[in-house]
Amino acid sequence: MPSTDFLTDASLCPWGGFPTLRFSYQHDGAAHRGGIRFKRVLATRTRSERCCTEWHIQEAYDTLVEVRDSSWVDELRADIPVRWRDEQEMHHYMIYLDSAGCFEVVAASWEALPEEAGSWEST
Amino acid sequence: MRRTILVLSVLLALAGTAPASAAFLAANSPPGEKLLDTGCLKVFGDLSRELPPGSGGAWLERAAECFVAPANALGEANFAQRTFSESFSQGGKFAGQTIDDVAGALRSGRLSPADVPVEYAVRDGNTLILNTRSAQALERAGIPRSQWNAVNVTGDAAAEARLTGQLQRNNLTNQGIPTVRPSGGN
Repeated sequence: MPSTDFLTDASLCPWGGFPTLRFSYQHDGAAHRGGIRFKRVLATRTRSERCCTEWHIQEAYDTLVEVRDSSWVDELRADIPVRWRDEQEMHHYMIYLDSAGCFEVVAASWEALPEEAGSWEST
Repeated sequence: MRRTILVLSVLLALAGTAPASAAFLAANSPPGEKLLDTGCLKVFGDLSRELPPGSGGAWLERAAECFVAPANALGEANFAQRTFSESFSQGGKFAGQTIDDVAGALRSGRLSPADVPVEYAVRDGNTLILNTRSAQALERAGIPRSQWNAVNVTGDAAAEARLTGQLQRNNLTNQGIPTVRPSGGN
């Protein structure tokens, strides 16, 4: 299911206590929804499509990638008080979704939500 | 600034298929193998790339400055995706509006075709439209392609990357497809 098939723009918002990238699509004639839930999120940022460079799109189009040796993670780690600095894993995740743009999250982990009937707009 | 990207998985094939979770994927899929049952692809590898300083930003302006579209450049142009949403994206010029809203504004004269640019790129001799919804609005307003405000973004790295993503994820070749349909339509 390419992101060009989404019924509305994907969005990153709280869901069930966790920041979640949510998207809805049509499948077998009915609306369905899915998402990516991030756990222990320390920071997020979003770029709209027109602010994205090749770097934000290539390899990350419809694909969750992890940015390694991330300067953003380094910056965050430096700002965290020493007593908490190594308390959790910090991964820089990134995904580009057509029309919506690039979503970046620094979190400990992620999981894909199972497909459900309905759309996020109805919740 | 140097960044290395570790590709975790192609996620959006999840839609409509998998009882999948990240844990499921991580635990059950060897790197680089297609998961036939789920339609998910998991790829691992180091993809080192340089991000030049100051490379973010105004590619639209650069594209507009560098390219002049020939008359009727979009006459035989195809699309790079099979479907489209009726609502414009939240970050764009027509955020919050539908295709019909913009088509209505074009019909009434509140917008002119010049206000609705349509970006395109030429790849292997094929002209491919990147702004599918803008094109749909112009078509619904009955404006011939010869009057569209065509903007050539061929060679713009970000636009080309997006075009590649659209084509690949929609299982299209560089020829694209001549017609599109609304998302959810059958």
